[in-house]
Amino acid sequence: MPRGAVYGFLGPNGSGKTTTIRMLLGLIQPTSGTPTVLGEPIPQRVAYALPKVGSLVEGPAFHPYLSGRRNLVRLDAADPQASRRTAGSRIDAALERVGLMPAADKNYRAYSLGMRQRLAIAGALLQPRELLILDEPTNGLDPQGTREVRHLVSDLADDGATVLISSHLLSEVEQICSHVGVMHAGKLLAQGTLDELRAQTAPTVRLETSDPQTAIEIMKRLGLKRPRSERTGDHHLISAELGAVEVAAIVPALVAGDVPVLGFRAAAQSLEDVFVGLTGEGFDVSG
Amino acid sequence: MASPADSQQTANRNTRQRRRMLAWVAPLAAAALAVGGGVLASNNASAEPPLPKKTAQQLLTAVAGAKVPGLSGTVTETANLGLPSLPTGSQGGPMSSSDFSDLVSGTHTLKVWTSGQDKSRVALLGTYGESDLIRNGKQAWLWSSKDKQAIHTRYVGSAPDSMQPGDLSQAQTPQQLAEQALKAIDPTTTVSVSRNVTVAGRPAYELVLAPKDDRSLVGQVMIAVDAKTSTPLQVAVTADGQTKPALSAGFTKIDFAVPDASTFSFSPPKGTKVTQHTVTAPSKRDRADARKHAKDAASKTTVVGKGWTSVVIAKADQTALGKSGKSGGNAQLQALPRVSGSWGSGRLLSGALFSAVITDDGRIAVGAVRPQLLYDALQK
Amino acid sequence: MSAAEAGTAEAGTAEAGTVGRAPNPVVSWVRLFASECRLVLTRRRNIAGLAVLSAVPILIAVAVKIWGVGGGGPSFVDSITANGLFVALAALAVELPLFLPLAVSWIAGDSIAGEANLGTLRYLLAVPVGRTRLLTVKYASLVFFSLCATLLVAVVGGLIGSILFGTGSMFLLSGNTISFGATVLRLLLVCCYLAAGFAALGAIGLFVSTLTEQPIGATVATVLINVGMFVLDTISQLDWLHPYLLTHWWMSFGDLLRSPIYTGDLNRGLLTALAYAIVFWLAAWARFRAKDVTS
Repeated sequence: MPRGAVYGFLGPNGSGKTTTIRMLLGLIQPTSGTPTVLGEPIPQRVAYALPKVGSLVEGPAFHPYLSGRRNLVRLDAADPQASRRTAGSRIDAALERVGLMPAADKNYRAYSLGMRQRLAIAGALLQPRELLILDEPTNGLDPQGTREVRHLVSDLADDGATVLISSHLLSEVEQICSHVGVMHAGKLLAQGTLDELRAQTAPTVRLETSDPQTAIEIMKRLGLKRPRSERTGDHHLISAELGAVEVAAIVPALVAGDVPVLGFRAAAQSLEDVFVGLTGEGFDVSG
Repeated sequence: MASPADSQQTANRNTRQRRRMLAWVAPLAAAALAVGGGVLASNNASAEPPLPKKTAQQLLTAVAGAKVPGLSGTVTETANLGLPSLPTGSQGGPMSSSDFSDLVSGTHTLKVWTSGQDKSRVALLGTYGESDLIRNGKQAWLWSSKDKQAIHTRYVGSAPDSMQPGDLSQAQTPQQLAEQALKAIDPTTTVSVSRNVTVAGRPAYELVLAPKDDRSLVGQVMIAVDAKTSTPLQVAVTADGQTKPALSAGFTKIDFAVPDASTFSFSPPKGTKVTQHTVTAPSKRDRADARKHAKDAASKTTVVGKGWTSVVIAKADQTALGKSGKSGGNAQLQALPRVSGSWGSGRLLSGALFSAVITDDGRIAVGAVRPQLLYDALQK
Repeated sequence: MSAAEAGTAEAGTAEAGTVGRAPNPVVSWVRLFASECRLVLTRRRNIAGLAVLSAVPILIAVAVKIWGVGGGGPSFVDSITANGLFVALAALAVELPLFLPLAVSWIAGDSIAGEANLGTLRYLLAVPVGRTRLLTVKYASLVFFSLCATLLVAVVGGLIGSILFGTGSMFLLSGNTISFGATVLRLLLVCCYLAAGFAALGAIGLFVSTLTEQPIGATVATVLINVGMFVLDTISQLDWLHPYLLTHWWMSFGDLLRSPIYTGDLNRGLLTALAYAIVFWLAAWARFRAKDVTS
């Protein structure tokens, strides 16, 4: 994962994204294996790795009866590497960056969910970071807030930080990430750049018919790869990889073979199909 | 399918678990150290210090002749006389009373200072309170912080040989107890030297006095005598058939440096109720009076038996007793069990070290004996 | 799994943030300690608790002023009319078994479990605050709070007493009369001694607090331990156990009011408190150093 990349950490709810992030931050101990962050083994060398890491874990959490600024002051005081002298300016800069300056002295209790989320990101930006770990940064935000966070993330990446974003939203990851890792049931199933993953996705055809056997035979003869059939209601849905076959040649061949064509579509496979293929589960595409 | 990576991971997991467990060694070791230290500190007297052998007689002489210029120390006194619980307000609970009269039950801490022959101070340390008995030449003070009261006694003429203003008789320091016990030494007593002990960090001989007469309630009296100064450091009175002392008083800390003179001066704080007493030393005529008084008292008091089993029978003041047998008697007395026999009837107070019978006809019989002996004495 | 390659260049994500040299560990510890103390002392519900603590001496003083000394009653009360400073001692004696331990248990129970409950613990650990460092700071703030709470009761008691009854002659339990300055010094010693005992209870609370994510549960458990020790202390059959009970020595603070000060029980009280503090802090550390933080 190169520096400056935005890594989308994708998986359905309960797939182990947050658990992985907790392990990376040394909050929980893995039952086996040793994760490394910035080359440092965790949790043994948490103190060396984490100062270079800003994080947002499982939603924002602050003292409700303190103002946003005082919450940040407290976080900064907790950092053994942070100097008190520069605390004021660093906190102001972080608040400015997430656009919370006007509400800095309001009690955290009075913050909206979006403001809370942004305060948590500000907390991650108190120091220059090499790596930002953002767990569901747009969770619960309105579209406006989501857009702001996306801008913020791409700005940060442009500044040279590596960003790890976990999400169960495919659309989000597709929009802001350059790299993707897919997690399911505690296992990392695939990772690579978005384009690499897209390259795996061969164009496919989908056919709706009531005579699957004949249709598959004809498709095989035409040279379509790996036709699969599944039942949908009264009909069968057959999908197959297009390969080098001309799309225009398929329907006439089927009709000639007396296959009732109830529906036909040729499309490049979406990432979603890839992930469904990998995880066997769907994602919330809407958000 | 155990690949090398798998076994590596298992090993990792085991190391991690072991390390997690290992961390608990620290608090457990600290706890063990603390408890062990506490046990050791309270059991420091277990080893027998080597001392040159001495006979009982040698020890007795040494104790009688022991003279220290002064000392200060802390005394722990424990009384477990097996008396029916008295409504002193100190029963149960961690609060300890600062009232000298409460010394008859429970454990108490006293501080003792002496200097020369005529200066002494005994302080009973209670929770949030203190009673002090200070004797300085011809002056004596009894101070109670709880009542904010002081009793001031002045001796005119020659100084008294024992300091007894107020209820001093209750102040049980090891010396006073030892004095009492040694007075009882007579042909009815077996005296022996037991194993050496350590009291208040000092090696000491242990003198054991046991009554020959097995009708006595007293099993034995143990007196720890400081090897160097022959000062009694600890006295424990064990009731017949018991293993734990019914009454014990001993130094937990002692220092033979002469205390500062200011320790023995007392001036009551403002707002204190001071009761003044003057005790005049008996002149010749008074002495005659006193003898007559004593005779009167003696006529009221008879002693039956000898030594450890002697029973004292006194004619009680009817008004003071509040007519024990009648309904008007005080509640405390009423609570005692009723006894009767050919000697009459009355109420019995029975403890581990002594028994007392208060008869309905106003006599009191007291002795360090079982009740039967009291009844016998009353019959005479 | 490697989350990111080790980067060499510093990536400036906070423009104003020139990191500079990392501060001295002691300086940064003091900074966190000050932040923690400020958090504890400015929290509204903690202030309310402290207000309740300081209401007791006021109540005692006003009651004595209006109805006089009725004989009996809590210790030291009878002497209040002679010297107002006795209000402080009476209040401390009254609050010793429950009020002050409750206040300390409250803060101690909240220390780790409260942060876990709010979720702020995971952010502190991700900073990274350092688990051992966090425990030292949390415990130091508990010691500080114990002293503050005890001093508050004494100061409020001393002030209200001085106003209502004046500061006449102060006498010790031994009957010695001492000066005003010496009285204040002895009061200060009493507060320090009691604070040491409460701070040891705080260590128990800190340990309990690492076991749960429910601050109220941790507080209740700590209070129960405190009350339990008081109860055990009243059972005379268990007298062999009494010297090992933390609370057994608390009432020995009266020994500071003797002349000369009787140090026997005070020393044992301080040693016991120290032993409790060390054992339970280490237990908290053993528990917390590898605890999975999942809230």
